[in-house]
Amino acid sequence: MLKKLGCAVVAITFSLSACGGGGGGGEGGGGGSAPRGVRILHGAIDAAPIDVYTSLSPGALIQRASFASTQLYSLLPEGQQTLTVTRAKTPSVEIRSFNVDVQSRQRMTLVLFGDNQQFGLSTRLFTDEIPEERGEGTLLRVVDGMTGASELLISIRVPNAPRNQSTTTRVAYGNATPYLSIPSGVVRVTAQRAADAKIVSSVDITLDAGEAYTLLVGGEADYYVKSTLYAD
Amino acid sequence: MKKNITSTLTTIFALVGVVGGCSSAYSQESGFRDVNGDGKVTIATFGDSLTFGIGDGIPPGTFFESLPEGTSGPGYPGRLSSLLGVPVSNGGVPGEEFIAAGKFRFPAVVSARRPDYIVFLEGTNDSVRKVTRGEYARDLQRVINVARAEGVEIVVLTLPPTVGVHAALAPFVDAFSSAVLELSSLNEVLVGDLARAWKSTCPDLEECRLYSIPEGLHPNTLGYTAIAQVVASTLLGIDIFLPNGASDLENALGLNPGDVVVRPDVAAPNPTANGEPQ
Repeated sequence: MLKKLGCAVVAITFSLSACGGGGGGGEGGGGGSAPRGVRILHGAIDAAPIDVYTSLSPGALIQRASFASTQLYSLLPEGQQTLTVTRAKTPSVEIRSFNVDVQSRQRMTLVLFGDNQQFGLSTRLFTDEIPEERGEGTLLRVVDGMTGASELLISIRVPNAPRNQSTTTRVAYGNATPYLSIPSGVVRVTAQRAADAKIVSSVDITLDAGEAYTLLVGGEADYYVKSTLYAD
Repeated sequence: MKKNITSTLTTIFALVGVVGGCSSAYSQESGFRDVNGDGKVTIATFGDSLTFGIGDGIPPGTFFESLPEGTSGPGYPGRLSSLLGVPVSNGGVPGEEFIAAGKFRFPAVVSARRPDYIVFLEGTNDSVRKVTRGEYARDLQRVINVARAEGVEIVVLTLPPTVGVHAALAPFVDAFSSAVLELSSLNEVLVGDLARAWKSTCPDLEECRLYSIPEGLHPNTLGYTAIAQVVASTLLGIDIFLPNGASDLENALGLNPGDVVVRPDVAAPNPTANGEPQ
């Protein structure tokens, strides 16, 4: 499936606080035009913004990626390189580095999750391999970057549709679901903590037909949870 | 020259606001704006007794080792509302500790108020518990993240230094203030440096007229005015510590010369023989 290269894609962010509040909002960002690149999904509730450096070029590749912020992919040079994640404005505070071999049309998503108190900060690098076949609908994967649950139950359905018409899956802490084929339009994504079925996030998102998306569930259960949608 | 133009524009916008009946100082030029695009500017404040206004109403020069019961007033939120002509809610909870309670209250305040700005001033009570700088910084980052994720501009304030009866808390309070400055830079959020304002205005903190001496913790009437002026200058993009900072703020807000109580701490440039700054 062709990507709409060169066009800005709107990523919509939604939130629901764990204590039962809720709400939504929108901001720019999303897939972007870089044919090969990397982007940040920052879900760590008490972590400062981060920078990303590549060993193949001077200066920061990504600057000040902050919690739940939406981003375009940043263009990566081709070839073997080391990606280094640091605290923003402080290159000496390294969080993690990855050795990668970037091919001509390869996109990656780097997820920052965990916290500085109980679980420690963690990172995970995903290769964004979007299935070619997506039919009339759209593709959505969910990334669990939220502390306070070892696993989430994910339910996706058209709002007000019967529960038996939902797509359900599970995702473990720090992991991502596969891309799921779902109807385009407005869908409600509900995340429940697997241990006690408590709803930690429920958001309505609008998905365009023929596109692919990633939804990051970030933050901390029972404190503040933010679900942020990214166009892939 | 540019500064003068900016100052003039800000003043014009302030005057237009007054003449137009909305008496609001916000404008695109100053950066003080309708962040959430709902057609109005609202400010929420968040903190402990220093936000609530404990000690307000006590005139400068009054001797207290501990404040009398029930001494409070509109505090800096009330003054800020008067200065800027916009609604400012008071989210101060006297005695609240940030680590143990405040950080948990914060998301609900942001969610309920949906302000354009939230001004954060908390941590003095944590110094009694000997909370470390690292713990304070970690949770300060937490509330910065929550505010930003909700699309709210956060203004973080350093803490007025403690003296007199509360002098023992000073190392902790100072450490928290340094964390505020560091995280404001890392996150590129607005910061109002109250610690600096106290020091620039009171060369001898033990004799400082901004709080009751020797109680040395809660601002008095003059201290709350100083806090409001620091926050207003931060929101309007005026550096109150420059030699002309006070007059710029007075012009922007339509105040009388001498109304701004915060003193500069940046020396005016020395002219050379040909009149150019060195």
